[in-house]
Amino acid sequence: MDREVERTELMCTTCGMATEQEVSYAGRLMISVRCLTCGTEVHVHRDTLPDDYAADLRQRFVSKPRRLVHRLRRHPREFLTTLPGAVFRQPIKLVSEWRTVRREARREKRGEL
Amino acid sequence: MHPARDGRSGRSPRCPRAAAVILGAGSGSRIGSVHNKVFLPLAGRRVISWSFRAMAQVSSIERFVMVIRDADRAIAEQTVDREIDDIPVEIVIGGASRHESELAALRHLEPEIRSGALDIVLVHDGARPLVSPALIRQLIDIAVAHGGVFPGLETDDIRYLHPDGSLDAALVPRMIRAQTPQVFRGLPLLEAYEAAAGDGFVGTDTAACFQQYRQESLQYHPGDARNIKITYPDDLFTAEEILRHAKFRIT
Repeated sequence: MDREVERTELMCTTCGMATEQEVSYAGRLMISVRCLTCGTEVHVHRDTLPDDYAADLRQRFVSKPRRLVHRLRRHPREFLTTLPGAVFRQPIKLVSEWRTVRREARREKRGEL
Repeated sequence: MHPARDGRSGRSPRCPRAAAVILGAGSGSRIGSVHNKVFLPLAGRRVISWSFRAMAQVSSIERFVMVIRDADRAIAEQTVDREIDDIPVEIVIGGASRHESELAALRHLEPEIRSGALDIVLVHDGARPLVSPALIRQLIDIAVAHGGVFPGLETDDIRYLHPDGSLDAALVPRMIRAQTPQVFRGLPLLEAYEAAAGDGFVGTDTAACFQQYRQESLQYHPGDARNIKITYPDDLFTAEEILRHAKFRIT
């Protein structure tokens, strides 16, 4: 998955109805869900977020070759044409994820969540 | 043979043949680029993929139907391709309501149901990603024996609300919070839905329609507290936590 934010419709406890909400991720970890109608934001209180992220990242690296081979076999042309762009974007994506994790960890430490 | 389907090789000839219908069409109220919540990433997979993984571990399930709204077709195809390509998922476009989506799936399966090639149909809410293969197997066995079954959790904190808004202090005895998958013999379920279509009846869930039109017994079976439905934002975090504790393998 290459998007860090996904939009969907969930029930909002503040609005009392289903609203459009934005779900943020750092890698495969869910970070927060924000109601786009009233701004209510739900976070998970996780003081182990940096460690959890590091463990998840390790698992992603380990499984990456298998996933790449799988995609190459199924869609060779699409895989080869998109690979250079993906390789270029990957470091930017990882830096962005790490920034998110650091920001959330700092907020957790300060008791802002 | 696919790893997820290894169990099939030992299937007895008398084993029921089942189809899993997983609903991801929703109410149809969403617009634009907002996808159904069943396509949200959850612990490395889309929510709906977890249900297909669980169903694929049950050897008697031979057909896998994903019911979606037309606007989610691209993400549904991508999900199947990337996450569950070892499962032969058939995508069906649903209707504006859950009832219409169920009818669309049953009509898709109609030839096999009528020919007797399919005995059992499971209808599962794609927003319940933590269903266990063990529960699915138990429900299929009960549906074969009795006709229909739905899982649920008994609750002891329900009170009756009078039409004037006043509460009855007495607790309502033996109330069930219904879960899915709801599992039925295929032909009676199809006939119930066709009769409902003729009458314009719309059930709140599969069991409601089945009970309205059929005489077969509808059983209750204790569900699983982990089998939560993603409704509120907190449910996503809870589901992620349950998956993490189960080492990403609900059994």
